[in-house]
Amino acid sequence: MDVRQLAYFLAIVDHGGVTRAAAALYISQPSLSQALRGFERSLGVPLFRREGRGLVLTEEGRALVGPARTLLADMAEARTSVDAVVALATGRLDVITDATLAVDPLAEITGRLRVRHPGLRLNVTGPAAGTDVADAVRTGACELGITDLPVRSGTLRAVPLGSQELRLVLPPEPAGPDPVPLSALRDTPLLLPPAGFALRGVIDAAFADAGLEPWVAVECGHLEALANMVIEGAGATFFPAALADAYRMAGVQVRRVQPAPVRTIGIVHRAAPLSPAAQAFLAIAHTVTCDP
Amino acid sequence: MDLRQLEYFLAVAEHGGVTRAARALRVAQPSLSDAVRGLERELGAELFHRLGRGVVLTTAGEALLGPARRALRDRAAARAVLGDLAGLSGGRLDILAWSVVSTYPLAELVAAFRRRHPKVSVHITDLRDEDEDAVGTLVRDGHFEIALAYVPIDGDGLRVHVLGDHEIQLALPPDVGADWPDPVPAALLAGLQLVSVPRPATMRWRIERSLAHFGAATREVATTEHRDALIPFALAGVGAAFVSAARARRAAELGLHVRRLDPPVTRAYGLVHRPERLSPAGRAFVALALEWAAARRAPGQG
Repeated sequence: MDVRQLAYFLAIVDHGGVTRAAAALYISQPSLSQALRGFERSLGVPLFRREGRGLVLTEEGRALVGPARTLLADMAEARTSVDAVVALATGRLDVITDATLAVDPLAEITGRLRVRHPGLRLNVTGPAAGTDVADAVRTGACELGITDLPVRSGTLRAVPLGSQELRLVLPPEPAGPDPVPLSALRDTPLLLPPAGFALRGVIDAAFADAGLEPWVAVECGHLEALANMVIEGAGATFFPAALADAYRMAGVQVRRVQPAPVRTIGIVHRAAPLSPAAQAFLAIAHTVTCDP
Repeated sequence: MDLRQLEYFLAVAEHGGVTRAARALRVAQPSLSDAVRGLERELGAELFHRLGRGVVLTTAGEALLGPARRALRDRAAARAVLGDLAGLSGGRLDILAWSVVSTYPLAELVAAFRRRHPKVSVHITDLRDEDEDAVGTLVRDGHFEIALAYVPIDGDGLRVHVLGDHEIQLALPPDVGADWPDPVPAALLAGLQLVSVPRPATMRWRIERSLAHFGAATREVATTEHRDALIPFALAGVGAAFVSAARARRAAELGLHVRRLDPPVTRAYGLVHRPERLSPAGRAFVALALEWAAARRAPGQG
């Protein structure tokens, strides 16, 4: 039994005969008659019998009407729910990224995404210990990732999102020069994310490039905790410019660093076709630019 | 055979599997697997039966448990001795902390500790939501000297000092919460669009249970593993967020409408450590934390 057979059957019932049903279905009358005969044969029971010049439902045919309508309604609903996903009325998108990039730029992208597609649910995770964002996207654990570029992979596509300059975040006092040469931080206790965090990698690289050894006094993976420690005077940290500026209100000083550590970031995905949700995400990400 | 192999073996035994052990120790799974296999090769015996979804100790593995634990504890004692020799003029303090507690009050405690002992560095390891139950084991087995976590925990054989509690508040996006009452009754939360951390964060479960009691349920529109992103997401208008009172202060500074909950949802946090000797840095930190907690409870304080 398939949906087409049921639809034809119901058409004959609703239009009161094969001729009128065929016209309504835009098929030829002999085709419809043949389809009906085939359906009855496959069921092994007659659904109609001749009475005068028309067809009348048999007992079996009458019994089939209700279930047939229910089933066709189910199919319509199934189709609609798939259509809804395609239309982004409902649906879910998984994005993988680190904490810093989740704050900026992902928060802004998500805000705009929700305005455009209010039914779309975003789920943001971080890479498992020992793996990175590129790994997770490459292995298919996640469709989209936001990470530092370039990624070392031929199989991933990258969509650049610009650069983030890292700024020095200092306790409320004392005042000092701006910009700060990196070499001046030789004796400054630094509060940084642990090794394995992308932000730490950028900072370490900046120090290494300058031939300097940072003095890491505290390692902690939470941005807000790092900021709180800076406010309490425990030392200095590095945040992307936009995030650093957001903490000015809390009392920290924000200074440029020379040379400035810079993070070049972007969205990565596999070469395979993207889901409608992912496409929508990319379209909106284009409208969000990073602070220089 | 080295201590790292024993540490990894013990973690796999305690957690019943390599994946969970790797997560709890925050190391890469392949490294952990390799270390355990290396140990098995050296000892000439299989330590685990590898089953479909986990591992089970072999007889050899069972035999190794006791000695491995003793070795790790003795390593901790050795570090303590070395720490005694160094005093507080060097070295590193390792703290295991649940993420919400890192923001507050750990940041404050660490800053105070650094002021007193500027030569000791501090390393904070993140306890992930799903490993909440692992705190006791990780400290008991000597992986960490000190942990800061929500209590109660399975503190068998450990010292647990309750330091204070977190109250959960609601941070509403700028265009939503201006005329919401303070505190917010549970009924008003029905259908509230929420940015949240994925289940099974215990705090979240408690909130939902408290709401369900009043027939209310929130609607999750986005989830993030990164708690640091909750307030930025709320600011971007994605949805409201449940945040601890300490983060809520910051949220209000940034322009979110912060409201308390009615009934209030709170959870106590505490310091966990082994009763036997701590390193000098560990002792100093515990003393500082207890001073801090006592000062907050003193009459006239908040």
